[in-house]
Amino acid sequence: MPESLAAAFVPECFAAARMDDRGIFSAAMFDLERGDLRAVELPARGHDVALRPGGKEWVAFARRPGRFGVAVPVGSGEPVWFAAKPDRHFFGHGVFSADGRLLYTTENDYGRGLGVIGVRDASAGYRQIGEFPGYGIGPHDLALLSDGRTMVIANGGILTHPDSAREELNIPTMQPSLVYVDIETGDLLEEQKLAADLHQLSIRHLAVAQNDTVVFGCQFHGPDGETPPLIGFHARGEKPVIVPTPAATQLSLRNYIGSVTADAAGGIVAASAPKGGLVTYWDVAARRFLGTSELGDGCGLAPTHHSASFLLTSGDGWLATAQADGSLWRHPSRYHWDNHAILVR
Amino acid sequence: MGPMRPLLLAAVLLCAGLPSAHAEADHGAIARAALDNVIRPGYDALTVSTGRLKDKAEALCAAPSAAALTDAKEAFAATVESWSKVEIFRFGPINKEHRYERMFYWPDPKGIGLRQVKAALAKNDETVTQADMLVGKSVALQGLPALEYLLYGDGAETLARGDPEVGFRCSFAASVATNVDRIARGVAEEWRDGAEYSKLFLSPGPDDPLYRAPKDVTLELYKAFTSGIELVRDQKLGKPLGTSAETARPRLAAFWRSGLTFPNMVGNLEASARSLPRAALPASLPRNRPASNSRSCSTSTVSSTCFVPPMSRSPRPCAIRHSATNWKPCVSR
Repeated sequence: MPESLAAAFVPECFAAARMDDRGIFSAAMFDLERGDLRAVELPARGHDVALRPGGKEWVAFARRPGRFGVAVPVGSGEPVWFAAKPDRHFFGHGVFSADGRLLYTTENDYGRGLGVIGVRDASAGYRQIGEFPGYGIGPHDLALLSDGRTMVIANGGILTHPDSAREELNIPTMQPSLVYVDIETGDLLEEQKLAADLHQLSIRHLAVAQNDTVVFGCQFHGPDGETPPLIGFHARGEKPVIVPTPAATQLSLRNYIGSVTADAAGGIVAASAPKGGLVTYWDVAARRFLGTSELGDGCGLAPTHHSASFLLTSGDGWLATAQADGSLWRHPSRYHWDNHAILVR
Repeated sequence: MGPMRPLLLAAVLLCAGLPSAHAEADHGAIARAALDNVIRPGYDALTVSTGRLKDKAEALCAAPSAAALTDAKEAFAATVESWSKVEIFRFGPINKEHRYERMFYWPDPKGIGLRQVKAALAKNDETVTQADMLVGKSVALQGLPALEYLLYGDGAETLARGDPEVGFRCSFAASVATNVDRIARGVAEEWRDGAEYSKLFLSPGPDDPLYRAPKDVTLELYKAFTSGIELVRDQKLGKPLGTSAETARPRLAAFWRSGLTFPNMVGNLEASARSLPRAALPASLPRNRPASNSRSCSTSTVSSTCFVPPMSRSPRPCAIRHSATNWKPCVSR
């Protein structure tokens, strides 16, 4: 049987960062049948995890303003630790080059108050070999388009400094953007900003879905009482389209999208609203709201081997598999899962 | 992951300090007791209160008077009291169709819901006066916080008068009361004997969606137990009180307009206390437990009798607690 077919019959293996009830942070590879397959204790809270193409290794990142990263082999090898430069910190997200050789991470050059993309050589112990501009403030999530050369970056637009904890320093003037960068040259290919009246809609998370449609999720930092739509769609060369949810759902998002992930086929995207205990589902081609699942503090999302199906992880300890029709199967766990999860295999 | 929740010492003791920690509890009996003694009576009582609330709101609109307004307020207070005793249960049919937030959109630190209620009042938005249409509107217009403002907020005294322009506010209130009653009845109905949620709760199987084993239900009840206490401590007391008189924000308190803040918290705590049968709780928690006992909660022991409820959101860094007590991490390395 071809590997792609066989995969449908094997329980998915995921990876995510989390905390146990003693306050110990870790990142783990696990499946829903056997639990942990491999766990690594982290020195502080983690955030996202990136899979190295080839599937032999995954990397967990410190949550902002942390500085550590750790690459964990799927097999038995020793984890490789690396750190941000002394005048940088991570924002918690990273992505590998298509060939798995380089790792790109969103970082804060807080001396200049600008976002940068750090470049590390995965085959040389994750030694940093360079960086290029993120073309904005507060780059957060990032991904590669299908050409393997175009990177899309969600610039949240919010200025932070590690000396001010997680304080946000420029809310009145913030200008989030979605930028496309050529990773060969570091050149800016396209920059999309939201309409002026939506400048306080911080673009934080994104997923590349079918036909390279970028679906992005926002967190609103604007005036009290406003509850703008939070999910947007963008295709290269077009204007971003922000799509509202039905009125009865909108408020329950609590102005906060925590994670965005495309399903296995790329036609459906899930976007979580952990503060509202909801996960929303979207039809990418039609740019249409499909419905919700309800899971308290449910934030982490990963595709499974099946279309329209997702892993959901919760800070309240539940793991769940869910379908875009809203059906949900829960599994208890001993951990408070952090905001993100990935499918390893 | 939401706010970090470093554990409370007692929480660990609950897990590791008991000699019998690994004796399997009768999870089926725990679920049955919770359902029969707390959950079903709780929602049934809520429907009694909401039914009366609906009647009193309609009576107020039909014949406005000071006495009728007092009756409606009393029915509202009784509804809040009933709600308080099921509010901590964030599972089951209440966790469907946005029912929870439609019933109780809270906390609302930025007053989004209040703005929406005021806006609906200002423009006489007739759609909010029909319960069938209200369900499709913002959750903040549909539940107890909205109704509280209508009955107790600015201009509520006009409800006692028969002025034609007051009719809209009263119809809005009656429509919310009807909506609240429908939500309560829907939830109560779906917890009945033989209904799907009851089956899932009482006899979970490995392919079931909510709980795959009876111990998962015990875990759910433990979560309700601890989160109910956290809710009162962190959200209902902590947020309004702040860290000083200067940082206190009394209007963050739930139900401050109706003066039901404390009855609401009392109800939450009573429900927390009753959410688990006595037999499921340790009789006492030992003090100064030797660190070595914490080994009993290793990664290999994933059982609901050995999980640690997150009880504390203390701002103290966990690492300090960790080193001070020599606890061993549960995570494999």
